[in-house]
Amino acid sequence: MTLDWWTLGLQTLNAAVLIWLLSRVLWRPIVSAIQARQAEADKQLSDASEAARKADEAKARAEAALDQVGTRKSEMLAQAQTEAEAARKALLDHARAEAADMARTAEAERAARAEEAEKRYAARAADLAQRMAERIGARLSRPALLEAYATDLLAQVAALDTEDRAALGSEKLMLRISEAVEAGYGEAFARRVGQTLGKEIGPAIKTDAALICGLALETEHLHLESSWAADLARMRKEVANDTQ
Amino acid sequence: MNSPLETAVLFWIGPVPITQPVVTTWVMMAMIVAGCYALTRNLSLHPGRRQAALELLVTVLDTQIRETMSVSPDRYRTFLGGLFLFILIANWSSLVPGVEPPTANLETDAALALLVFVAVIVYGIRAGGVGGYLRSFAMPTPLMIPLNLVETLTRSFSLLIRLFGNIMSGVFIIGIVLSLAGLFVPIPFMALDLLTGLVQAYIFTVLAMVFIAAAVAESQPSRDSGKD
Repeated sequence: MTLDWWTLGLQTLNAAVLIWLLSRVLWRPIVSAIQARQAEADKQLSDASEAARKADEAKARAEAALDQVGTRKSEMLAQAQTEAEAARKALLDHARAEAADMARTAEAERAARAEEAEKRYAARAADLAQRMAERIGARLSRPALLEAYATDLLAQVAALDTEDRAALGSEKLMLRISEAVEAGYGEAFARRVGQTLGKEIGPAIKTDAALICGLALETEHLHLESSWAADLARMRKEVANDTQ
Repeated sequence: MNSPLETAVLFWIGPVPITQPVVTTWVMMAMIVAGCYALTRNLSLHPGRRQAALELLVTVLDTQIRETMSVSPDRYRTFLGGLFLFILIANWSSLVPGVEPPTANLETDAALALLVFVAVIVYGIRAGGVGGYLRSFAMPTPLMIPLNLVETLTRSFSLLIRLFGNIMSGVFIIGIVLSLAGLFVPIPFMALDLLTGLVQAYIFTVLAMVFIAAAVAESQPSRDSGKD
Protein backbone atom coordinates (compact mmCIF):
# COMPACT_ATOMS: atom_id res chain seq x y z
CA MET A 1 0.00 0.00 0.00
CA THR A 2 1.37 3.32 -1.03
CA LEU A 3 -0.07 6.80 -0.64
CA ASP A 4 -0.56 8.69 -3.87
CA TRP A 5 0.47 12.19 -2.95
CA TRP A 6 -0.96 13.68 -6.15
CA THR A 7 -4.32 12.20 -5.39
CA LEU A 8 -4.06 13.36 -1.79
CA GLY A 9 -3.31 16.87 -2.93
CA LEU A 10 -6.02 16.90 -5.55
CA GLN A 11 -8.61 15.54 -3.13
CA THR A 12 -7.58 18.08 -0.52
CA LEU A 13 -7.95 20.82 -3.09
CA ASN A 14 -11.27 19.33 -4.26
CA ALA A 15 -12.66 19.21 -0.74
CA ALA A 16 -11.51 22.75 0.00
CA VAL A 17 -12.99 24.04 -3.23
CA LEU A 18 -16.24 22.23 -2.63
CA ILE A 19 -16.44 23.67 0.88
CA TRP A 20 -15.84 27.15 -0.53
CA LEU A 21 -18.39 26.65 -3.34
CA LEU A 22 -20.98 25.34 -0.89
CA SER A 23 -20.48 28.42 1.20
CA ARG A 24 -21.36 30.47 -1.88
CA VAL A 25 -24.25 28.51 -3.33
CA LEU A 26 -25.76 26.83 -0.27
CA TRP A 27 -25.02 28.15 3.19
CA ARG A 28 -24.86 31.87 2.50
CA PRO A 29 -28.14 32.06 0.50
CA ILE A 30 -30.02 29.98 3.04
CA VAL A 31 -28.64 31.89 6.00
CA SER A 32 -29.41 35.16 4.22
CA ALA A 33 -32.98 34.02 3.64
CA ILE A 34 -33.34 33.02 7.28
CA GLN A 35 -31.84 36.28 8.47
CA ALA A 36 -34.02 38.28 6.06
CA ARG A 37 -37.13 36.56 7.32
CA GLN A 38 -35.97 37.02 10.91
CA ALA A 39 -35.34 40.69 10.20
CA GLU A 40 -38.74 40.98 8.57
CA ALA A 41 -40.34 39.24 11.54
CA ASP A 42 -38.47 41.53 13.91
CA LYS A 43 -39.53 44.53 11.84
CA GLN A 44 -43.14 43.40 11.84
CA LEU A 45 -42.98 42.73 15.56
CA SER A 46 -41.45 46.16 16.04
CA ASP A 47 -44.11 47.69 13.81
CA ALA A 48 -46.77 45.82 15.72
CA SER A 49 -45.31 47.03 19.00
CA GLU A 50 -45.16 50.56 17.61
CA ALA A 51 -48.73 50.24 16.36
CA ALA A 52 -49.81 48.91 19.74
CA ARG A 53 -47.98 51.77 21.44
CA LYS A 54 -49.64 54.29 19.14
CA ALA A 55 -52.99 52.62 19.73
CA ASP A 56 -52.39 52.85 23.47
CA GLU A 57 -51.48 56.50 23.10
CA ALA A 58 -54.56 57.14 20.97
CA LYS A 59 -56.67 55.32 23.53
CA ALA A 60 -55.12 57.39 26.31
CA ARG A 61 -55.78 60.57 24.32
CA ALA A 62 -59.37 59.49 23.67
CA GLU A 63 -59.86 58.72 27.35
CA ALA A 64 -58.35 62.08 28.27
CA ALA A 65 -60.67 63.78 25.78
CA LEU A 66 -63.62 61.89 27.25
CA ASP A 67 -62.57 62.93 30.73
CA GLN A 68 -62.24 66.51 29.53
CA VAL A 69 -65.67 66.34 27.92
CA GLY A 70 -67.06 64.87 31.12
CA THR A 71 -65.43 67.60 33.17
CA ARG A 72 -66.69 70.26 30.77
CA LYS A 73 -70.16 68.70 30.91
CA SER A 74 -70.10 68.73 34.71
CA GLU A 75 -68.91 72.34 34.69
CA MET A 76 -71.64 73.35 32.23
CA LEU A 77 -74.26 71.51 34.28
CA ALA A 78 -73.03 73.18 37.45
CA GLN A 79 -73.00 76.56 35.71
CA ALA A 80 -76.50 75.96 34.31
CA GLN A 81 -77.72 74.95 37.74
CA THR A 82 -76.13 78.04 39.28
CA GLU A 83 -77.66 80.27 36.63
CA ALA A 84 -81.05 78.57 36.99
CA GLU A 85 -80.85 78.93 40.76
CA ALA A 86 -79.94 82.61 40.40
CA ALA A 87 -82.78 83.15 37.92
CA ARG A 88 -85.20 81.32 40.18
CA LYS A 89 -84.06 83.40 43.15
CA ALA A 90 -84.38 86.60 41.13
CA LEU A 91 -87.85 85.62 40.00
CA LEU A 92 -88.82 84.74 43.54
CA ASP A 93 -87.41 88.02 44.88
CA HIS A 94 -89.20 89.94 42.15
CA ALA A 95 -92.44 88.08 42.84
CA ARG A 96 -92.02 88.63 46.57
CA ALA A 97 -91.37 92.35 46.00
CA GLU A 98 -94.39 92.62 43.73
CA ALA A 99 -96.50 90.69 46.21
CA ALA A 100 -95.26 92.93 49.03
CA ASP A 101 -96.05 96.04 46.96
CA MET A 102 -99.48 94.68 46.12
CA ALA A 103 -100.04 93.79 49.77
CA ARG A 104 -98.93 97.25 50.87
CA THR A 105 -101.14 98.87 48.24
CA ALA A 106 -104.08 96.67 49.18
CA GLU A 107 -103.45 97.38 52.84
CA ALA A 108 -103.30 101.11 52.17
CA GLU A 109 -106.45 100.93 50.07
CA ARG A 110 -108.12 98.82 52.72
CA ALA A 111 -107.03 101.26 55.46
CA ALA A 112 -108.19 104.21 53.39
CA ARG A 113 -111.50 102.53 52.72
CA ALA A 114 -111.82 101.59 56.39
CA GLU A 115 -110.96 105.13 57.48
CA GLU A 116 -113.38 106.56 54.98
CA ALA A 117 -116.03 104.11 56.07
CA GLU A 118 -115.34 104.89 59.70
CA LYS A 119 -115.66 108.62 59.02
CA ARG A 120 -118.81 107.98 57.09
CA TYR A 121 -120.17 105.79 59.85
CA ALA A 122 -119.13 108.38 62.47
CA ALA A 123 -120.88 111.13 60.52
CA ARG A 124 -123.97 109.01 60.19
CA ALA A 125 -123.72 108.13 63.87
CA ALA A 126 -123.34 111.83 64.75
CA ASP A 127 -126.34 112.65 62.60
CA LEU A 128 -128.27 109.89 64.25
CA ALA A 129 -127.18 111.04 67.71
CA GLN A 130 -128.04 114.61 66.89
CA ARG A 131 -131.50 113.61 65.74
CA MET A 132 -131.93 111.49 68.80
CA ALA A 133 -130.69 114.40 70.99
CA GLU A 134 -133.02 116.77 69.24
CA ARG A 135 -135.94 114.45 69.89
CA ILE A 136 -134.84 113.95 73.46
CA GLY A 137 -134.41 117.72 73.88
CA ALA A 138 -137.88 118.29 72.53
CA ARG A 139 -139.33 116.08 75.26
CA LEU A 140 -137.47 117.83 78.13
CA SER A 141 -138.97 120.62 80.27
CA ARG A 142 -138.45 123.57 78.00
CA PRO A 143 -138.66 126.47 80.52
CA ALA A 144 -136.29 124.90 82.96
CA LEU A 145 -133.86 123.95 80.24
CA LEU A 146 -134.05 127.39 78.69
CA GLU A 147 -133.40 128.96 82.11
CA ALA A 148 -130.35 126.73 82.53
CA TYR A 149 -128.95 127.88 79.21
CA ALA A 150 -129.77 131.49 80.11
CA THR A 151 -127.84 131.13 83.35
CA ASP A 152 -124.89 129.62 81.47
CA LEU A 153 -124.93 132.44 78.91
CA LEU A 154 -124.89 134.99 81.71
CA ALA A 155 -121.91 133.22 83.17
CA GLN A 156 -120.15 133.51 79.84
CA VAL A 157 -120.90 137.22 79.74
CA ALA A 158 -119.59 137.62 83.23
CA ALA A 159 -116.42 135.88 82.18
CA LEU A 160 -115.75 138.31 79.33
CA ASP A 161 -112.73 140.56 79.52
CA THR A 162 -113.03 144.36 79.54
CA GLU A 163 -112.60 144.88 75.81
CA ASP A 164 -115.32 142.32 74.94
CA ARG A 165 -117.58 143.83 77.58
CA ALA A 166 -117.11 147.25 75.92
CA ALA A 167 -117.78 145.83 72.50
CA LEU A 168 -120.89 144.11 73.83
CA GLY A 169 -122.25 147.41 75.02
CA SER A 170 -121.38 149.58 72.02
CA GLU A 171 -121.81 147.45 68.91
CA LYS A 172 -125.09 146.34 67.43
CA LEU A 173 -126.29 143.42 69.46
CA MET A 174 -128.55 140.53 68.45
CA LEU A 175 -130.30 138.20 70.91
CA ARG A 176 -131.55 134.95 69.41
CA ILE A 177 -133.94 132.79 71.38
CA SER A 178 -134.78 129.23 70.41
CA GLU A 179 -138.49 129.49 70.64
CA ALA A 180 -141.28 131.85 71.08
CA VAL A 181 -141.41 132.43 74.78
CA GLU A 182 -143.81 134.57 76.68
CA ALA A 183 -143.73 138.26 75.90
CA GLY A 184 -141.05 140.25 77.62
CA TYR A 185 -138.70 137.25 78.24
CA GLY A 186 -136.18 138.61 75.76
CA GLU A 187 -136.22 142.08 77.37
CA ALA A 188 -136.00 140.56 80.80
CA PHE A 189 -132.94 138.52 79.80
CA ALA A 190 -131.40 141.67 78.22
CA ARG A 191 -131.80 143.43 81.56
CA ARG A 192 -130.13 140.53 83.31
CA VAL A 193 -127.19 140.78 80.86
CA GLY A 194 -127.10 144.52 81.44
CA GLN A 195 -126.94 143.91 85.16
CA THR A 196 -124.08 141.53 84.63
CA LEU A 197 -122.26 144.02 82.44
CA GLY A 198 -123.14 146.90 84.63
CA LYS A 199 -124.81 148.88 81.85
CA GLU A 200 -128.03 148.73 79.86
CA ILE A 201 -128.16 147.13 76.46
CA GLY A 202 -130.90 147.01 73.84
CA PRO A 203 -130.45 144.00 71.66
CA ALA A 204 -132.57 143.02 68.72
CA ILE A 205 -134.52 139.91 69.67
CA LYS A 206 -135.03 137.11 67.13
CA THR A 207 -136.51 133.63 67.37
CA ASP A 208 -134.19 130.91 65.94
CA ALA A 209 -135.45 127.30 66.04
CA ALA A 210 -131.99 126.11 64.95
CA LEU A 211 -130.86 126.62 68.55
CA ILE A 212 -133.30 123.83 69.54
CA CYS A 213 -133.27 125.17 73.08
CA GLY A 214 -131.19 128.09 74.35
CA LEU A 215 -130.00 131.61 73.62
CA ALA A 216 -127.29 133.41 71.72
CA LEU A 217 -125.79 136.95 71.90
CA GLU A 218 -124.05 138.21 68.82
CA THR A 219 -122.24 141.31 67.76
CA GLU A 220 -120.16 141.96 64.71
CA HIS A 221 -117.06 140.55 66.43
CA LEU A 222 -118.44 138.50 69.29
CA HIS A 223 -120.60 135.47 69.48
CA LEU A 224 -121.83 134.01 72.78
CA GLU A 225 -124.19 131.07 72.71
CA SER A 226 -125.53 128.57 75.15
CA SER A 227 -127.94 126.16 73.54
CA TRP A 228 -128.73 122.55 72.91
CA ALA A 229 -127.60 122.92 69.27
CA ALA A 230 -124.26 124.41 70.32
CA ASP A 231 -123.70 121.56 72.78
CA LEU A 232 -124.49 119.00 70.11
CA ALA A 233 -122.18 120.71 67.62
CA ARG A 234 -119.38 120.77 70.17
CA MET A 235 -119.89 117.13 71.09
CA ARG A 236 -120.01 116.13 67.47
CA LYS A 237 -116.75 117.92 66.87
CA GLU A 238 -115.17 116.19 69.88
CA VAL A 239 -116.39 112.80 68.66
CA ALA A 240 -115.06 113.55 65.20
CA ASN A 241 -111.67 114.44 66.74
CA ASP A 242 -111.69 111.22 68.78
CA THR A 243 -112.28 109.03 65.68
CA GLN A 244 -109.37 110.61 63.71
CA MET B 1 -12.42 -7.18 -8.24
CA ASN B 2 -9.70 -4.67 -7.62
CA SER B 3 -8.07 -4.16 -4.26
CA PRO B 4 -9.58 -1.30 -2.33
CA LEU B 5 -6.13 -0.27 -1.32
CA GLU B 6 -5.17 0.43 -4.91
CA THR B 7 -6.27 3.44 -6.99
CA ALA B 8 -6.62 3.20 -10.71
CA VAL B 9 -5.15 6.04 -12.76
CA LEU B 10 -7.59 6.98 -15.46
CA PHE B 11 -5.44 9.50 -17.30
CA TRP B 12 -2.58 11.85 -16.88
CA ILE B 13 -2.42 15.63 -17.02
CA GLY B 14 1.19 16.22 -17.57
CA PRO B 15 3.01 14.56 -14.71
CA VAL B 16 -0.17 14.49 -12.60
CA PRO B 17 -2.01 11.19 -12.50
CA ILE B 18 -5.77 11.59 -12.41
CA THR B 19 -7.18 8.69 -10.47
CA GLN B 20 -10.70 7.35 -10.35
CA PRO B 21 -11.55 8.89 -6.92
CA VAL B 22 -10.51 12.31 -8.20
CA VAL B 23 -12.74 12.06 -11.24
CA THR B 24 -15.60 10.76 -9.12
CA THR B 25 -15.10 13.67 -6.75
CA TRP B 26 -15.14 16.14 -9.61
CA VAL B 27 -18.40 14.75 -10.97
CA MET B 28 -19.86 14.69 -7.49
CA MET B 29 -18.74 18.27 -6.85
CA ALA B 30 -20.30 19.41 -10.10
CA MET B 31 -23.59 17.75 -9.23
CA ILE B 32 -23.58 19.07 -5.68
CA VAL B 33 -22.81 22.62 -6.71
CA ALA B 34 -25.34 22.55 -9.54
CA GLY B 35 -27.98 21.02 -7.31
CA CYS B 36 -27.37 23.49 -4.50
CA TYR B 37 -27.45 26.38 -6.94
CA ALA B 38 -30.74 25.14 -8.33
CA LEU B 39 -32.16 24.66 -4.85
CA THR B 40 -31.11 28.06 -3.51
CA ARG B 41 -31.74 30.13 -6.65
CA ASN B 42 -35.18 31.46 -5.76
CA LEU B 43 -35.36 31.75 -2.00
CA SER B 44 -38.03 34.04 -0.59
CA LEU B 45 -39.45 35.34 2.67
CA HIS B 46 -42.30 32.85 2.37
CA PRO B 47 -40.58 29.47 2.11
CA GLY B 48 -42.01 26.49 0.30
CA ARG B 49 -41.30 22.87 1.13
CA ARG B 50 -37.93 22.91 -0.62
CA GLN B 51 -36.74 26.07 1.12
CA ALA B 52 -38.16 24.85 4.43
CA ALA B 53 -36.15 21.64 4.11
CA LEU B 54 -33.00 23.60 3.35
CA GLU B 55 -33.57 25.91 6.27
CA LEU B 56 -34.23 22.88 8.47
CA LEU B 57 -30.85 21.49 7.40
CA VAL B 58 -29.12 24.73 8.35
CA THR B 59 -31.05 24.96 11.62
CA VAL B 60 -30.12 21.40 12.59
CA LEU B 61 -26.49 22.01 11.71
CA ASP B 62 -26.42 25.28 13.68
CA THR B 63 -28.04 23.58 16.65
CA GLN B 64 -25.48 20.78 16.54
CA ILE B 65 -22.60 23.26 16.38
CA ARG B 66 -24.05 25.38 19.17
CA GLU B 67 -24.64 22.39 21.46
CA THR B 68 -21.29 20.76 20.73
CA MET B 69 -19.01 23.78 20.61
CA SER B 70 -20.99 26.25 22.78
CA VAL B 71 -20.22 29.00 20.29
CA SER B 72 -22.06 30.92 17.59
CA PRO B 73 -22.24 28.72 14.48
CA ASP B 74 -21.64 31.49 11.94
CA ARG B 75 -17.85 31.01 11.68
CA TYR B 76 -17.91 27.19 11.61
CA ARG B 77 -21.03 26.42 9.58
CA THR B 78 -19.35 26.60 6.19
CA PHE B 79 -16.48 24.28 6.97
CA LEU B 80 -18.33 21.71 9.06
CA GLY B 81 -21.45 21.74 6.89
CA GLY B 82 -19.43 21.37 3.71
CA LEU B 83 -17.40 18.58 5.27
CA PHE B 84 -20.56 16.72 6.30
CA LEU B 85 -22.25 17.08 2.93
CA PHE B 86 -19.10 16.01 1.06
CA ILE B 87 -18.60 12.88 3.18
CA LEU B 88 -22.31 11.96 3.20
CA ILE B 89 -22.74 12.27 -0.55
CA ALA B 90 -19.43 10.56 -1.18
CA ASN B 91 -20.44 7.69 1.10
CA TRP B 92 -23.86 7.35 -0.54
CA SER B 93 -22.40 7.50 -4.04
CA SER B 94 -21.74 3.77 -3.65
CA LEU B 95 -25.45 3.23 -4.38
CA VAL B 96 -24.85 4.29 -7.95
CA PRO B 97 -23.87 1.18 -9.89
CA GLY B 98 -20.28 1.19 -11.05
CA VAL B 99 -19.30 4.09 -8.80
CA GLU B 100 -16.81 3.54 -6.05
CA PRO B 101 -17.22 6.13 -3.30
CA PRO B 102 -14.26 8.51 -3.00
CA THR B 103 -14.25 8.06 0.76
CA ALA B 104 -13.40 4.40 0.23
CA ASN B 105 -10.09 5.68 -1.03
CA LEU B 106 -7.29 6.31 1.46
CA GLU B 107 -6.09 9.54 -0.18
CA THR B 108 -9.58 11.11 -0.01
CA ASP B 109 -9.99 10.33 3.69
CA ALA B 110 -6.46 11.54 4.31
CA ALA B 111 -7.31 14.76 2.51
CA LEU B 112 -10.35 15.24 4.74
CA ALA B 113 -8.35 14.46 7.87
CA LEU B 114 -5.70 16.89 6.66
CA LEU B 115 -8.33 19.61 6.23
CA VAL B 116 -9.56 19.03 9.78
CA PHE B 117 -5.98 19.08 11.05
CA VAL B 118 -5.37 22.43 9.32
CA ALA B 119 -8.76 23.79 10.39
CA VAL B 120 -8.00 23.02 14.03
CA ILE B 121 -4.78 24.97 13.77
CA VAL B 122 -6.37 27.89 11.89
CA TYR B 123 -9.36 28.22 14.23
CA GLY B 124 -7.09 27.83 17.26
CA ILE B 125 -4.77 30.60 16.08
CA ARG B 126 -7.73 32.79 15.13
CA ALA B 127 -9.18 32.37 18.60
CA GLY B 128 -6.07 32.95 20.70
CA GLY B 129 -3.30 33.97 18.35
CA VAL B 130 -0.21 31.92 17.65
CA GLY B 131 0.95 32.24 21.23
CA GLY B 132 -2.36 31.25 22.61
CA TYR B 133 -2.60 28.27 20.33
CA LEU B 134 0.91 27.11 21.18
CA ARG B 135 0.24 27.61 24.88
CA SER B 136 -2.74 25.30 24.53
CA PHE B 137 -0.29 22.43 24.11
CA ALA B 138 1.00 23.13 27.61
CA MET B 139 -2.44 22.58 29.11
CA PRO B 140 -2.97 21.59 31.81
CA THR B 141 0.81 21.32 32.48
CA PRO B 142 3.90 21.70 30.28
CA LEU B 143 4.63 18.07 30.91
CA MET B 144 1.73 17.31 28.60
CA ILE B 145 3.29 19.02 25.57
CA PRO B 146 4.62 15.80 24.01
CA LEU B 147 1.41 13.96 24.61
CA ASN B 148 -0.67 16.84 23.23
CA LEU B 149 1.47 17.01 20.11
CA VAL B 150 1.10 13.28 19.58
CA GLU B 151 -2.60 13.54 20.30
CA THR B 152 -3.00 16.20 17.61
CA LEU B 153 -1.55 13.88 15.05
CA THR B 154 -3.14 10.68 16.24
CA ARG B 155 -6.64 12.04 16.45
CA SER B 156 -6.40 13.23 12.84
CA PHE B 157 -5.04 9.84 11.93
CA SER B 158 -7.90 8.20 13.78
CA LEU B 159 -10.33 10.23 11.69
CA LEU B 160 -8.67 8.99 8.56
CA ILE B 161 -8.56 5.35 9.61
CA ARG B 162 -12.13 5.31 11.01
CA LEU B 163 -13.72 6.74 7.89
CA PHE B 164 -11.58 4.76 5.49
CA GLY B 165 -12.03 1.49 7.36
CA ASN B 166 -15.81 1.73 7.61
CA ILE B 167 -16.47 2.84 4.06
CA MET B 168 -13.84 0.67 2.41
CA SER B 169 -15.02 -2.36 4.37
CA GLY B 170 -18.60 -1.75 3.31
CA VAL B 171 -17.66 -1.51 -0.31
CA PHE B 172 -15.42 -4.53 0.02
CA ILE B 173 -18.11 -6.62 1.67
CA ILE B 174 -20.70 -5.68 -0.93
CA GLY B 175 -18.23 -6.53 -3.67
CA ILE B 176 -17.50 -9.91 -2.14
CA VAL B 177 -21.19 -10.73 -1.58
CA LEU B 178 -22.06 -9.53 -5.04
CA SER B 179 -19.41 -11.74 -6.60
CA LEU B 180 -20.51 -14.74 -4.57
CA ALA B 181 -24.30 -14.54 -4.23
CA GLY B 182 -25.73 -12.74 -7.18
CA LEU B 183 -27.64 -9.57 -7.97
CA PHE B 184 -30.19 -9.01 -5.12
CA VAL B 185 -28.40 -10.56 -2.14
CA PRO B 186 -26.23 -7.47 -1.39
CA ILE B 187 -29.29 -5.20 -1.06
CA PRO B 188 -29.53 -5.55 2.75
CA PHE B 189 -25.82 -4.84 2.96
CA MET B 190 -26.29 -1.79 0.77
CA ALA B 191 -29.06 -0.54 3.06
CA LEU B 192 -26.75 -1.08 5.98
CA ASP B 193 -24.09 0.77 4.01
CA LEU B 194 -26.46 3.77 3.74
CA LEU B 195 -26.77 3.88 7.52
CA THR B 196 -23.05 3.40 7.91
CA GLY B 197 -22.36 6.23 5.50
CA LEU B 198 -24.67 8.58 7.37
CA VAL B 199 -23.28 7.63 10.75
CA GLN B 200 -19.70 7.95 9.58
CA ALA B 201 -20.33 11.36 8.06
CA TYR B 202 -21.97 12.46 11.31
CA ILE B 203 -19.15 11.02 13.44
CA PHE B 204 -16.45 12.59 11.30
CA THR B 205 -18.14 16.01 11.45
CA VAL B 206 -18.89 15.87 15.18
CA LEU B 207 -15.33 14.83 15.95
CA ALA B 208 -14.08 17.71 13.82
CA MET B 209 -16.37 20.01 15.85
CA VAL B 210 -14.95 18.63 19.10
CA PHE B 211 -11.36 19.03 17.97
CA ILE B 212 -11.93 22.59 16.77
CA ALA B 213 -13.91 23.51 19.90
CA ALA B 214 -11.13 22.17 22.11
CA ALA B 215 -8.50 24.13 20.21
CA VAL B 216 -10.59 27.31 20.32
CA ALA B 217 -11.43 26.98 24.00
CA GLU B 218 -7.86 26.20 25.06
CA SER B 219 -6.38 28.96 22.91
CA GLN B 220 -8.60 31.72 24.26
CA PRO B 221 -7.12 33.85 27.07
CA SER B 222 -10.26 33.61 29.18
CA ARG B 223 -11.42 30.05 29.06
CA ASP B 224 -14.50 30.59 31.19
CA SER B 225 -16.13 32.76 28.55
CA GLY B 226 -17.21 29.75 26.54
CA LYS B 227 -17.92 31.95 23.52
CA ASP B 228 -15.97 32.53 20.33
